[in-house]
Order: sequence, then structure tokens, then C-alpha cells
Amino acid sequence: MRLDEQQTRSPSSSRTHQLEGDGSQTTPGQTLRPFGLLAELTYRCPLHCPYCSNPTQLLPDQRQPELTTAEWQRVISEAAALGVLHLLFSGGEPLLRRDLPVLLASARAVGLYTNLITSALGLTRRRLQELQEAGLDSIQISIQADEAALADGIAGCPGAHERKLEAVRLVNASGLPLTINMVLHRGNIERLPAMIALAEQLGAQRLELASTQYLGWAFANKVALLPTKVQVQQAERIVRAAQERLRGRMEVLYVWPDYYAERPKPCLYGWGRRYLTVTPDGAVLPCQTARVIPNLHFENVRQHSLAWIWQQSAAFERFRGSQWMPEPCRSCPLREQDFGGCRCQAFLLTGDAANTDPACSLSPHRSRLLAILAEAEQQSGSSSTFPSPFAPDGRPLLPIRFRTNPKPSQGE
Amino acid sequence: MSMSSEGSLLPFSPTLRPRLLPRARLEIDRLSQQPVLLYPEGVMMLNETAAAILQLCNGEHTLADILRELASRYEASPEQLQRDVYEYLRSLRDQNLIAWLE
Ligand code: SF4
Ligand code: SF4
Repeated sequence: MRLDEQQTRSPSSSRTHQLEGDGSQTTPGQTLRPFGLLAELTYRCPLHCPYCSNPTQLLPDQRQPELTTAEWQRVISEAAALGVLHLLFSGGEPLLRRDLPVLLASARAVGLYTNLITSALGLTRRRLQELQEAGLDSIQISIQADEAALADGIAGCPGAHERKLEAVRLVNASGLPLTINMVLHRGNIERLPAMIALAEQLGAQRLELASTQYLGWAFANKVALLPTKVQVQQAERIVRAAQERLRGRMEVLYVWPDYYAERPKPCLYGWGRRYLTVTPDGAVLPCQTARVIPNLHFENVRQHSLAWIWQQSAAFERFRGSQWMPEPCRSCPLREQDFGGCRCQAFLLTGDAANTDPACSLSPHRSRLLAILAEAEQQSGSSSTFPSPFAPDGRPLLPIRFRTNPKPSQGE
Repeated sequence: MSMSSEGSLLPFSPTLRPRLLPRARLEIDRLSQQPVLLYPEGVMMLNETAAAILQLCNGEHTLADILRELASRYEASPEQLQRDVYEYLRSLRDQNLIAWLE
């Protein structure tokens, strides 16, 4: 499951988080506090979204069995002791873990706010009731498009859309706060008005419209998924109008496409500053896609405490503060605001995670990003037609790599 | 979300009964022992006054009740208190954290 949520949280929560006080630029891990933990319970998922932020491949030593219930419970209580307030259960598809209600109850027992990020496949009435009884605070359900054939084509799973709508109805009847997540890309961006209308009709309290972030599977599919600049501009106008129109009824959040921006996004508000991710096999990452960066060793909760990993481990210290920054970031007045952008994106686009994110127009590697945009525009055809990578019946029209489950040996 | 600060406080009637929405939860932060408001997209560390206001937002107290209660606890001119409380409630409503019953 991609976690658009965390990238969306400007500006309101950045402001509120800051009330707590943020460390100075050279603060070591001891004085920083993680506010949110993303628990990726499993990489297994019934869907095959080609923009999924899960890893496209795992090294042999990363293919360990999933954490057991008891191991997750230990992680949860250590997280609370470390200062975590938000626990986001994600994956893959977290509902595939039968012990989800047990983990929820453990999280609630230590006062955490719990959020489930799900495709909703497998969310039956009974399951939902279990989750609610265990204390689930809120739920986010992903929807791929406004219409079943296209949505199922994008998810690579016939029948998924109808089942999601059914699950949404159950959630509404249950009274659980509902967010609908929609990831935008060239395959659905032209359908945006209808997608917003669907979310309205489904009665979501919040709608997150997240431009695809080109990491994980999305990076592999970037040329097919990138919208054109004209499409992005139009989408922004549509979103702004919807925000106006729906004020007070449905909150509409928008994650801008950083490939078309001048400045990078402050990825998770800085490496190892506010968030951590625990992968299905127990590795602890500053950000959910960080395993793509080579030569960084991410410690595992099976060997170390969460506090030690957060405070002391080399991988978390690596990009904290601004000492590691090259120019132009090092002397840039914005370095404490955007932290030089996304480390994973810097690695994917330049081959070195310590470089300035090319989503910044000041990056000396900006041309790599521009070349990708040019390629996507070219594939989109002439300026007046922007063919979708999917036919209306969901058939892929361009070469697309659908997500597959990595194949670690399964835990319990 | 931008908040206009110009005198649009008028729609607040003293008989409103604000209540914290189910999506938000008040907790005590383990590290700081300060009150904290938790909700899907974030965390809000609260000062004492903010926590006092939110504790009264349970759908039972009217705005007038809340102002009276706060006036008995804190030293502030009624106008100042009213302005602060209204502004705070409006920002919470804009973030979809409270609603009210007439
Ligand atoms: S394939 Fe789709 S539903 Fe499954 S984890 Fe990835 S983004 Fe989420
Ligand atoms: S140069 Fe670096 S710090 Fe300055 S805006 Fe660009 S990415 Fe941010």
C-alpha cells in the first residue's frame, strides 16, 4: 500500500507537529522523537497496482519470514515508549494478517491512534466488527478509478472495484471515520471529476488525491504513468474547485506531483525525524522505500530495540541534520524546510542518495528528471491527445509492469 | 486551509453545543505528560487552556457554559476570552475536528 498520507500532511500537521518543538539541524537521534510508525504487516496483496510503493525486488537477506504476533506486539509497545502517537497499519494488504485485531488492541492499550490503510478486499461485516471492537480509530480505503472496468484494469484484479464499494458501504454503516485514497496518474487523471463525484457519493469524510510518487513500482512504470503538464495543471484547477465546493462536507487533500514542481517535497519532514517504517520482516526504515538505497544497512527489530535503531543506528543518522548535504542544498536557506527532498528519489534519479533531489530546479541533475518528462510527453502523442496507458475496458495499452508479491517464506 | 481572521465570528451563537468528532481523540502524551489531540492526519500538542476547552466540547455544554467555566478558571477579560475561544473552535471546525448541535 502506498502511503500517500504522510506526504500529504503539509501544511496543517507540519505546523501542529512543530508545536512540540523540532530539534536543531544537528540534533542527534536521542533528541528527535518519532510521531508516526508505519507498520507494513505483509507484502502480500491481492491487487497489482503498477504504482505500488512496495519494493520491486528483495535481496535474499531481505526475504525473511514475517514478524510474528508477539514480535509486532513488542514493536508496538516499544514504539509507544519512544513517543510514537500514530500507528498506521499497512502492507501489502494488512487484512491478510489474521492477527490484525490483536495488534490493534495492543496499540490501543498503549494509547496509540490507529489507522488502517487497506484495499478493503477481505473487509467483511464480521471482520469490520472485529476491528472496531479492537479499537480501530480510522480507515483509509483505496479506489483506483470511478468506474469498475478501468479500476479493475489498473489494480490488475477483476471484480476488485465492486468489492471495494461494498466494503465502503459497510464502513459507512459502521460509523468508522473513512478516508478514500485515490492515486492519480495518466491512466485516470482525465477521470478526476467523476472520481471526486464517486467519493462524494460514497460519503467519505476525507478524500486524498495523491499524485503518483515515482518510487517502488511507480518508478519502474514512470513513463507510462506520468501525466502531461497540461493534465496536471487541469487537475489542479479541478481539485481547487472541489475543495471550495465541498468545504465543510468532505475534506479534499491533494498531493502535488513533484516531478512538475520547482522545489522538492519535504519527504516525511526529514530522514529519521518524525516517522519510521517497520517492514514485514522487521527491518526499520526512515521511509517506506528506503531499502532501494544500496550500501545502507537497515537494522532489524529481531536483533535490536526500536529505540536503539532510531537513536543510534548508522542508517538513521546518515541523512539527519544538514552536514551530509552537498551543494546547492548545503548553503540553501530552504535546507531546513525541505531537507533537500527525497533520498530515495535522489538515488533513483542520480545514482547517489546524498545528492539534491532532482525535483528541485537547482539540482545539477535536473536534466535527468526533465528527460523522463520529455519521454512521457512524447509517448503521450501530440499535444492535443493524451492517451491513457489503459483502454476504457482496463486493458493496458502501454508496456506496464504490474506489481507482484515478493516471495519471502511466510510467517505464521 | 487558510483561516480568515476578520470578524466572521458572528455565526457562533451562545447556544451552540460543540462536540469533538469521533475521528479525534484526546490523550495524555506519555513523553511530555501534556494533553494531545490525535486525529487521522496529525497530532496536536495542547496547552492547558486548549485541553480545557476540548474537554468541555462533549456535545452537552453550550458555548455560553464553556465561556462561563473558563472565565471562572482563568484570568482574562470576557471579550478576550470569547475571542480566543471562538477563534480556536473555528480552527478546529475548519480541520473537521469538532462539530456542533444547536
Ligand atoms: S498493490 Fe495496490 S493495494 Fe496492494 S499494496 Fe500496492 S498499492 Fe496497495
Ligand atoms: S537546493 Fe536543496 S535545500 Fe535548496 S530548495 Fe533545492 S532541494 Fe531544497
